[in-house]
Amino acid sequence: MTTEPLPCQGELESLLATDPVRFIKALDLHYRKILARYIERWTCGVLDPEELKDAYQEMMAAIWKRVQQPGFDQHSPLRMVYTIARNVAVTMRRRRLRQPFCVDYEAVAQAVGEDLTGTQAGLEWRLLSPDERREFQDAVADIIARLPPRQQMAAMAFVEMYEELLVKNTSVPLAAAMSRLSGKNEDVAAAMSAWRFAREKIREDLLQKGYGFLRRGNP
Amino acid sequence: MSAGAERDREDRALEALIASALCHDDRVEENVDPDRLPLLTEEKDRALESIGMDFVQRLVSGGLVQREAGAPSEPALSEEPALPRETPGFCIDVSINHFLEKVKNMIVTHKRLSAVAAATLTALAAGMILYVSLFSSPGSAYALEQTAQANARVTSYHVKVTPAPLDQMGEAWIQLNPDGSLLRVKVEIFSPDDGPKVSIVSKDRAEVWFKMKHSHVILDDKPMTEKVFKEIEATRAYYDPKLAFQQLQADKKAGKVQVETREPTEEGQPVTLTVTSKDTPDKQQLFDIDPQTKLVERVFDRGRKDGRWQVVQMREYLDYNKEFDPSVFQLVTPKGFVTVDRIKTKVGLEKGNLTDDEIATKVAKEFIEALIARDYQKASPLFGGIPAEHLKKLFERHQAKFLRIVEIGKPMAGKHPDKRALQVPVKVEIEVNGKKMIQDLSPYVRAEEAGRWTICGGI
Repeated sequence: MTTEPLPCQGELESLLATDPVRFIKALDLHYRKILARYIERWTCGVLDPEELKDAYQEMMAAIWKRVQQPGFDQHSPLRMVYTIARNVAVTMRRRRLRQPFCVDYEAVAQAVGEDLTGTQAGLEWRLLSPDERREFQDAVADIIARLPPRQQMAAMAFVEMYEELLVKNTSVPLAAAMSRLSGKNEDVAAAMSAWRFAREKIREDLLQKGYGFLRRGNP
Repeated sequence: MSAGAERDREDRALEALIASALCHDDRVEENVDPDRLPLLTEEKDRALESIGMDFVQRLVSGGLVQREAGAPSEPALSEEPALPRETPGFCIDVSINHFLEKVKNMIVTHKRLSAVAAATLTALAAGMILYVSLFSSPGSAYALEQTAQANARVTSYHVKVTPAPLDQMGEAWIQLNPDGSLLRVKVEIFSPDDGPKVSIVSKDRAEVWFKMKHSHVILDDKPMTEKVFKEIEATRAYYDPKLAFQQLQADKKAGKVQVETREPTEEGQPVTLTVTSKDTPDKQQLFDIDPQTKLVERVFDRGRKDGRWQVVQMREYLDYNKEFDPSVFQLVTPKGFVTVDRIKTKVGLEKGNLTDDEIATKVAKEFIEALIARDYQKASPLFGGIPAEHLKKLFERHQAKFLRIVEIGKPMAGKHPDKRALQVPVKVEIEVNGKKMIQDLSPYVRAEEAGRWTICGGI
């Protein structure tokens, strides 16, 4: 891979406007590792090397397909690239967990709302501005991506199974999801323990980043 | 509210925030700071390098079909499955060029042909070329009957279901008899009651590995294995490509569905059938058909929500007619698993002339008596065949001694997932660390293989 400076958004945009082939070549040449690491962030490290390679190739094929579509908007191509990369990553992650590709976001939002109602964290969360909420989301994603592998796996399994865990009020789906990720049999107690460690590590790191309202026993 | 309950609520709130941060993320990013991205391991770096520098060249030249890239075949979020592009019109393929060449040769070599005849023949050839170009796609057109015929020759296949629904198979390896009936099946299921389990079933033998319950049951009791086999056969319509296709043909004949066929335009692409039901226009099935073998490669179930089609489930068919590796049908359980071999050990007690209540009480009583006598060899078949050494560990780990049965109540229906199981209330006197106490036990007893009754839980 090249060590030259990355072509910026404007350069990619003009390449795309003049020659889509040169655009896709530049993307592969300069951004391959960055995009793979971006996929790694959204899959939180659960893909094995071959799966990561597949995800990268699938993403590039999807980008190539997109830029060939008539009426394709050539402005800000990196927005399109990162959106496709994230979609491919989330799809791969859900496939690993055998989760539906279409998440019922309304149901998740309702579950989140119910769990936040009447709590200190919920109150503080409502006071955050949209930008601050996005920063918070970034912070959570970054922290999970840097967790030790087992905790990272537990966090991913928890996030994906969140709705099911609430509905069923049992931790069996968490253990099952972790078993699918690890390829080993994970018992319920061990899965819950891994998730609690992960949650406390996320809390600790968020506290360090200034989200004091997540402190236990916060008045 | 207690401090503990308050802490639980705050923990749940944090969990909700974590879930919402990743679960519903619709940010559009364009300024990603590479320093904030996780680093790749050496193996992942090497895998990326192995893509090669000619990757883009292959991609743009069409030499790398998305599905061939080793990438999974279903679409990314919010994207429809990659369908073949429209067939380009007026293309002259190799066979037509060959035909033109032949006609030219005829004109050149048949010197006795008059100029008029030659001109007529040329016009005829040109007309035929135009006809072929206008009305035929490259290669012969696909017909549903071709897949029906190919299905009749299938003797084995491997199917993967994504996402796997609860209590239905996620993956299976199927062997068929020459008449198309089931011969042997290995199936992986996630059961809400048992957790993940793997079963290998034929008409005369069944083996089930309950992964989460750390147990492995082998049985050859014919009524029992036939029952399990029939259950798998009954759900065959859900996973079998032949039955799915027969249903499609029947529905089409009855005018219940509309089938749109798209031929591949490039090598490596499948024939795609889009099946829309007239009764449920917001649901579709997409069949990917291998253009060479005519066999079904994938079936996508799609649903339309807010005007957008989304894939709900995919069934992928692999390894048609391939001899499976023998290891596919051999369960290798990790160390520490309890194997209950019901072929070697007959479990439970025969019911004989007893009523259900009487046999349930008898099994529970004999089991507790065996525990009092510390006769785990006798207790083992009464408790589903769980090996004696495992029972010994289980019942002696808390240093408890079973002293006597104080009372056995009337059996009743309990909350066991198997509704036929009877719960027997038993009061037992036990001694723990020199202290005597009365302990309530509620073993569940049910009829299993060949009318024999055994304990199946509640201890």
